[in-house]
Amino acid sequence: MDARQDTTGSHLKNLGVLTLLVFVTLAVVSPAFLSASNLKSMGFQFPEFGLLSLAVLPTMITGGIDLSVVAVANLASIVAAVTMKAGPEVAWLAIPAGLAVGVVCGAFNGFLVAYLRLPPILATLGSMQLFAGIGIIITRGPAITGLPDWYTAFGNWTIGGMLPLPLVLFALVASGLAFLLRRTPVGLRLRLFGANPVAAGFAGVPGKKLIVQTYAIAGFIAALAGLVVLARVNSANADYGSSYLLLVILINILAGVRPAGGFGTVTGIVLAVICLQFISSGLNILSFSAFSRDLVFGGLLIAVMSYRAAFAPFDVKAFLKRKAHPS
Amino acid sequence: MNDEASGSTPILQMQDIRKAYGSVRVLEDVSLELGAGEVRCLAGENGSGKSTLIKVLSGVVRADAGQVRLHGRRLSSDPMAAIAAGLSVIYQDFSLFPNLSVWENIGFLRSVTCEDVFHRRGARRRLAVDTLRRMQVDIDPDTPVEMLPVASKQLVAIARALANQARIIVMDEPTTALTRSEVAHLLDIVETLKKDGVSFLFVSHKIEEVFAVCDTVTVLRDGSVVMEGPIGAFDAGRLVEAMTGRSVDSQRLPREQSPPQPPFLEVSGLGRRGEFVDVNLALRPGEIVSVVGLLGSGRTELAQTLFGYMKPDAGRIEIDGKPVAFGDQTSAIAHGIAYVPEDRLTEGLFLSQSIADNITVSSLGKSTSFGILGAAALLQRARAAVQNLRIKTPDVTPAVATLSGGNQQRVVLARWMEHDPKLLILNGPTVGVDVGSKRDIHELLVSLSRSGTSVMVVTDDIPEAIALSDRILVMVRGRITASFDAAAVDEDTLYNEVIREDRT
Repeated sequence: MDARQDTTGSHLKNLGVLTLLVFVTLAVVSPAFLSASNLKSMGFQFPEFGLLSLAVLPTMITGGIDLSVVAVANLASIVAAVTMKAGPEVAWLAIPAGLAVGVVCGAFNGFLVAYLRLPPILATLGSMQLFAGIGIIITRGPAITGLPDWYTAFGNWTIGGMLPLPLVLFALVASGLAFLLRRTPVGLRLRLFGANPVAAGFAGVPGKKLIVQTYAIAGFIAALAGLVVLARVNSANADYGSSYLLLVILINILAGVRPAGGFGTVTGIVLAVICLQFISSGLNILSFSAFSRDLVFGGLLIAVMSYRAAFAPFDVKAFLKRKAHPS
Repeated sequence: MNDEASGSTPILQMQDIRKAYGSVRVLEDVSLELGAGEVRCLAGENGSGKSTLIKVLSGVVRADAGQVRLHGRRLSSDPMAAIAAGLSVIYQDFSLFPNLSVWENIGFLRSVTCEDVFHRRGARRRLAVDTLRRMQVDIDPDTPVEMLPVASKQLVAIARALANQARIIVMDEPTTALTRSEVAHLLDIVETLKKDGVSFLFVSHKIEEVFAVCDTVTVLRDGSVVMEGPIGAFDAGRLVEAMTGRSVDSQRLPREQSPPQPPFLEVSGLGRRGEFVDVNLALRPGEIVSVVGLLGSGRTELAQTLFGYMKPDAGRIEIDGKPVAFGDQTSAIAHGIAYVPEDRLTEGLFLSQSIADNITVSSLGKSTSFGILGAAALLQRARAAVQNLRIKTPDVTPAVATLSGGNQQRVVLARWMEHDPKLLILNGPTVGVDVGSKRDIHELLVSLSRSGTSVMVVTDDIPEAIALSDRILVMVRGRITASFDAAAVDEDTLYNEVIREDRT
């Protein structure tokens, strides 16, 4: 359908092959990997950072980034937890309230980037601290525990005893986002905006509104991730999952999202998330130390980026050649 | 051909330089010589190959054939070597570091060519101060360059070249952004330096200055030297004729006269501080109006203001007789105004994205129902546009960066034609487009205007304005100074009007 297939298409193929390779290797090396319990536990684990990765995706396509996703997720879960504990008559408001917090936080990020023209990386670094700070003030430090049973039941609920609810949620959000990016004017515009914001302005793309929308979408998905975490760990904490942030960026890069903007697919994110989850579980089953995970992930990131820099003919060269064209 | 200015052997020789980009020949067997203390003008229109020739000279671009000799030694294609050999090029944007002070800018190049390991602050500052004194220029060496007016930046750029012991200074359009008195001052300095044996190569298309300062002139047209010799041997008329030639694009396109209609857009007393003042114009359906002016005349700002990209601070804009105020470009687009920007690579196109997306981006609403894009409809519209405008590509999925200049420009045009504009504003519609495509694009615009669209073209390409327009407005220093019927004006008259600067 578009130019992404020129460069990202082959990348996706490679990523798919890599994922499959990891899967087959682990399945052969360790029979425990294919056990129902392991598959199920993976199904509960990866949707959390999978959702966070999906949240960052649209912002990276516009050439920005959202570093505040984890903080937004935590703040949303804290607000939801507080609402639940406020009494059974308002408890039903918990989920909408959490999601609304996400949208507001995201729109705030978008405002900083679009209207105050702060560099996204700094704006969201600042708001990350801000949101975490608000969370700490609400909780006064310790985690909020003792959530109603009906909510924590979500966290362990499976469809047909096999499909964990978080996994289903991840699949729904992934397809929804994919649809948004590929089949709606907003999705197409935000990709083109990422490719060249100046040209987008001259083509009549309403850049500021678009950016606010994009970051609000990111905030919404992040809040959803927060609600999933809340159900699974049964507590809301202002500094939960701080190591997720770098993992989420790693997934986006691995997924072939171009940091400069203009390229990125949901398919890539899904593959990258699954691939990393396989590796992580595999290391676990093969009883490597937990610390080796960072080493493998870091190594993989460097390897993928170097491979792409060396072999994928990103059209910088062609571009420069054209620039040298006489006028 | 040798000249009378120096008599000695030339210090710079360019011999039979040839350069092509893909199938487009940009330079064909161009030769050029420069003696000590000689001031030569390299004249030519846009797209004649001047810029490329300078890039070959400075070593930024490698020539396909031919050689450059400095002081008799062959120069390799390497910018560092050229600088070390005493050649300095001052580009139109001066390439200064705005955040650094005047002396840092002047001393910087020297530090690089001397391969300083440590920053020699004292020595570099002294060098800068001495150089400025030698030029008899009064600029505070500690001011950051961004605080200086354009004319002073120009002088800093020259000082930088001199501080680096430049013997040859190449200046690309040195006076476009300067006022008359500033130009006079600049020419004084050139005169002084000339006596020290510094040679200059001026790239210019301003006839007045060519005569005021140059000893010799080389005229380029379509990549070859069409005229060369001492300035005394020419008059302005011959020079203009040599520059413009009588090529395909200077002939007026045939057209039917459309009946006069009430204006679609009318502007009165429009002004924007520091860019343009008191602009009155009316754009009618079925008419092509060109605004001709030099770089810095306010032509681009005027066009962008009509597109809502900039806000005027005086005057009124009326559409169909009703006053409007554009919040930004989206509201102008909603009124049916379209704008093709000057630089299609940075402002016009999403280079890395597909041709289809580039064409349909501004008219997504047409193929959207219930917030969902009709992928098939978009593709179909893009394919139809590619066929209509004869864009040479196998399909609409490749990135637009893969197309040639002329085809890229058609993509931008296609984008706006999909939008069915009532007014199409084009800024430099055929810059960097080959002659054949240029003609095609002109024909396209004429037929578009005859079908009832108002067309406004902003250009500094005089033959283009005459070939294309019904009416030509001349813009000088932010004012519309003259208006011509395009069928009745000749290039020389127009040219003289465009370069006239004493009307303020």
